Amino acid sequence: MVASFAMLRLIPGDPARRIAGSNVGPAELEQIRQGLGLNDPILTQLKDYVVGVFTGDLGTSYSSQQPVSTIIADRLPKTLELAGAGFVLAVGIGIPLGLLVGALTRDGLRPRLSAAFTGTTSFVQSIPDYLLAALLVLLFAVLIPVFPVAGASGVISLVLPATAVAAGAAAILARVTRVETLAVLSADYVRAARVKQLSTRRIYGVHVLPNVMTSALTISGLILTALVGGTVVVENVFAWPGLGTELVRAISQRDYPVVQAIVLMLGVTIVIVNLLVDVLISALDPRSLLRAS
Amino acid sequence: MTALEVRDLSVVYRTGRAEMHAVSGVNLSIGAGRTVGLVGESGSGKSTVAKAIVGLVRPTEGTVLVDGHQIDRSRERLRLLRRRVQMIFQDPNSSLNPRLTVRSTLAEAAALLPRQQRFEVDELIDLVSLPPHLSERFPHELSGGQKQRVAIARALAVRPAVLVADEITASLDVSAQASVLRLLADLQHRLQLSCLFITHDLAVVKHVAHDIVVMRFGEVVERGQALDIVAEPSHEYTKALIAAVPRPFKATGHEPASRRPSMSEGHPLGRLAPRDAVVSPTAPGGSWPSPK
Amino acid sequence: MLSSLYVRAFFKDRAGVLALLGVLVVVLLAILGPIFAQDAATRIDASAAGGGSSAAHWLGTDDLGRDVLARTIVATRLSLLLAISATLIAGVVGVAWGLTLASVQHPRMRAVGSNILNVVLAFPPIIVAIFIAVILGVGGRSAAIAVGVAVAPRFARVVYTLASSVSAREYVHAARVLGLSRRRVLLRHILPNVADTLWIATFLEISGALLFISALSFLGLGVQPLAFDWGSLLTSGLDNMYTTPAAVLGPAVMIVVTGLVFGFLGEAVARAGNPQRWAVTRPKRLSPRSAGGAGSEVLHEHRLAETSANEEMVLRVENLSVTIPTEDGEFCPVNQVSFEVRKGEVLGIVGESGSGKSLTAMSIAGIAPAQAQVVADRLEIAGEDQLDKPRRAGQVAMVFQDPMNSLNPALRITTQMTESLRAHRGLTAAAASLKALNALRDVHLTNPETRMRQYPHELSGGMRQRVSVAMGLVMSTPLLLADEPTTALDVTTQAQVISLLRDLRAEGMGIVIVSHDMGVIGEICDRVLVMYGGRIVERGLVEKVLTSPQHPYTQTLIDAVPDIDDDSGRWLGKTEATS
Repeated sequence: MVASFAMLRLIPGDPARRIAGSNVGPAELEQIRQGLGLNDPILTQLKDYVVGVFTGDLGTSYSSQQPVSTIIADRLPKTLELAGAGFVLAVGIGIPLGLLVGALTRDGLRPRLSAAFTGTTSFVQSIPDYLLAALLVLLFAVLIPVFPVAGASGVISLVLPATAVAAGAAAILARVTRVETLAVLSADYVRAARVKQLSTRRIYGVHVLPNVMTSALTISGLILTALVGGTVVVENVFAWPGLGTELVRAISQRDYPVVQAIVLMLGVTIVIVNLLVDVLISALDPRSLLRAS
Repeated sequence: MTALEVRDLSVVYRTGRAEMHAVSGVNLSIGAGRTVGLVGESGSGKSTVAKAIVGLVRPTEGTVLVDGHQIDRSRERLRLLRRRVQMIFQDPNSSLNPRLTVRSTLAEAAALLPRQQRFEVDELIDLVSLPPHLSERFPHELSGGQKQRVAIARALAVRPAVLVADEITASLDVSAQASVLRLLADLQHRLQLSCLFITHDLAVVKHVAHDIVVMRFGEVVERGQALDIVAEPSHEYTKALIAAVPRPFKATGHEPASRRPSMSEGHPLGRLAPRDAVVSPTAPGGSWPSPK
Repeated sequence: MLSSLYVRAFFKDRAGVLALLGVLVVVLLAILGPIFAQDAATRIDASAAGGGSSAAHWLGTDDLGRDVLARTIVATRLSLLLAISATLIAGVVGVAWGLTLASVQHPRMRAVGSNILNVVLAFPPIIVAIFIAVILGVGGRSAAIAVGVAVAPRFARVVYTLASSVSAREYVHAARVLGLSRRRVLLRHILPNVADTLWIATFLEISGALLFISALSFLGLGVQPLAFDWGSLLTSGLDNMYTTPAAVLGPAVMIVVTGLVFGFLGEAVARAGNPQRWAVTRPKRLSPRSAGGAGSEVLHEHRLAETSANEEMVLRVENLSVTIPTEDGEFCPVNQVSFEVRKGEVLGIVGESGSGKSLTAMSIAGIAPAQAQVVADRLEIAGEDQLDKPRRAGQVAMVFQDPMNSLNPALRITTQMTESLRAHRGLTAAAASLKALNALRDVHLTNPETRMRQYPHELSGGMRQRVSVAMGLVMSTPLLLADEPTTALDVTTQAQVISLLRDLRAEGMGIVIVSHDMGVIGEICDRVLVMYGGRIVERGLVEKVLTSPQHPYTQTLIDAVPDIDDDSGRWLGKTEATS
């Protein structure tokens, strides 16, 4: 929070001049400064800012004169929607794929599948999300117009941006899940379950899956934060009306209260996400439960 | 003459607010050319004693003396003295640098001595009965027993007076264990080495050590001559330990291998010899081989 | 001499050479591109503005009629320079940060530092980079600094983790005990062993920085008009996507390809730096086991099958072989093994690592590795054929070597004890746990009611081995297979497990113990098989085999066993002090 306050102060140039434009006299400039509280001592400004954040007052946009909190309230759900859809997609594809390939390539079976899987996932992983977004638009909106190019109008418009955000994450998740699946499958307790002649469904459902999920979840937290970062860029390809597009607009118009607030919001979102993941993991893993008590 | 002496050694680990007394008030002394076996189960603090002796763990209290001189970890001029005690570690897979060939590993250690006292790498390899062609290999190309031989050669390269052997055969097959122990006894005899032999295995230590020190929960519970301790243990814990040792030959009235003419050593084993069982005939007594 | 080995290893790796060529091409483009294509890249030609791909302009032209292909090539230099500077910044900051943290001795301060690093790492670098770029003002240079600082924590994490883990290795301890200088320990023993990961990290960060800087340019925070890099070309290409879709492809392909070749080069350099990953060129260390040429097997008895065919057999194995297909042909770790186990009998299978003893046990239990082909003329447990049909539950129980790994860490003991009862015997939860409780009492587990509700990590190693045995008891399996059941245990615990196995034998269970430890075998077994190179080389009653081993391999094996009742001091350094 202090960092985001410092950012506003560190930016070169005078916000008052930015708001007023270049054709105003010094007297008017001074008046605007006064109005913004820019003449107060720096600690007072910091205090006002912190108090403001906790009372929901994030300041006013320089350019639109709207309260920043209104802008955030408008935009945040859209970003969460995109990140959420991307996460569901990444988890929904990555984990089952990793499990499946892990089970198929256990004990060094099917070396070709294993190589193909590693190659494909590392390729997908190395394509930056905004680039994938651009390629997706090119393919499925311009050349083969199946999906809308831009905007947020219903589920159909969510498909391309969510795919762009999720692809890399799904690839990472699939790789991690596969490695973990291989490790769990060769563990003695899975062998013991096989000696008991339990059904395949029970072996995978009760003995393999929960142990794979612990580490898959750990990485999911990282992935969710990376997804939030990814949306910032990808939103701009699709003109998705979320925080990312607003951030770029605000940066180019030097609308710093908005920039500041968005960076703060993203930070808070990430902290909350990490916290939730930690709680979830300790709820699922008996060993970390013990540690907590 | 005492080669190594440990006085009132204590090591306390602090994790957060909790204190863990790994070693409390341990005294040890090893005479020249003798072997002391340090026995205990996991958590007894035996490995911590070893690390404190060679300076890998800083003792909370107590002193370590080599040849009658106190060694202290910070002073540079005592580095030479500290070098008189060398350690061999448990895990052959992690005790050799995977990026160096056998030759580079040994050459590095040998180069620590002044030129006129220095070993040639080939001498070291010969000393531990490794086949010479292994010298250009990397550790992962060697068997566990071979790796331990290289580790022993590395320790010998600086002409130590004392070897600290920490569970050096725990991860080896029995035949590799036997040949490594035979090598160690042979070297000890030829080079007048003293040895602190750390193990959990009482059956092994009885054959390796002159004296035995038994540790439990960081403290010494019993000490004495090896044969006496095994024959008539006085402490309850030592009794339990000895009772727990499997006795494969007891019920059978079997005569121990060493008392009957060895069949295996004279036997033309050919391809059937376990990978590590071939030991070259012992050179006649004497001290360190003279440098070239 | 040693270093030439490493260079040769690099050039043997085809993927590495290709990656090196790829990087060289990109670097050449960066050097030569602006010299030869600058003119075409900046010449404004209004007549050709916004043209699609044509013979003159392969990738089309932009708004001002400039050739996109030429611009893409010229942009290589700036894109690469920015990426490399950002990596340098990240490397210097990250290595310094990581090493500082790793050198902090005080445990609590170290924990605090590591936690701060973790918090910083939780933020996506792109957001941190945007944040810093906004402060520094837009432009290529500030984008490079911003990205450098943003990815520095990742570097710091890698360096910190590596430095902490390697300096705990025994060879580093050994180097310190030898009295090598600090510098030498660092340069020769620590750095080379973290180098491969550092190489990968550095090259990956170059491609990562490339992506992040392009992203900043794409957002308008990076390179500003007049100058151009791949990111800004991409932005203008996106604007004109409908008219000249090819304009997007050029920079997109360059970004991905450059990222990939740098990543691959990093991995190849790491491979070459690690002797363990070199392709094997020397003859293999282990001779093929199947060529053991064991000669005929030594028997101390008539084969049981003939003498006591009427007795109740718990296990009957005839000509069991396991083959594993490898690149060098078939490998046969278990070769034509036959034996039987009677009710209430303990059979030991002894041998050293690689003898095939564990695989034999796993094949009997039906859990041989998936790629192994298990064949046998006969494999019967309690008279029931186990080949070529789904096995019936409750025939066999197994105890594994590592008690830390043999129970499922995510499930309570109850669940693991009762699941086969419920699945195969159709018992209710209550009835099953009653049975489980009795079984836990039978293996002398203290407080069985409490233990049932606990998770494996709350039990000691010895307790877990008892639970494993009890899991077999609940199903009243006629056969128990124990693979090195005592190896990971302390001697006193080991003795308890052995006496438990004796009790089970007394109750009529057939037991197979696989072990390398003649001591354990001699202590509890009735009969023993000695395996070497996948074959049985000797078999017989334990007393017979131990007292008069016939096969030379068995002799070496037995001679190697230290006997605590033998006072000869076989491995004593002979001194005047001993008689």
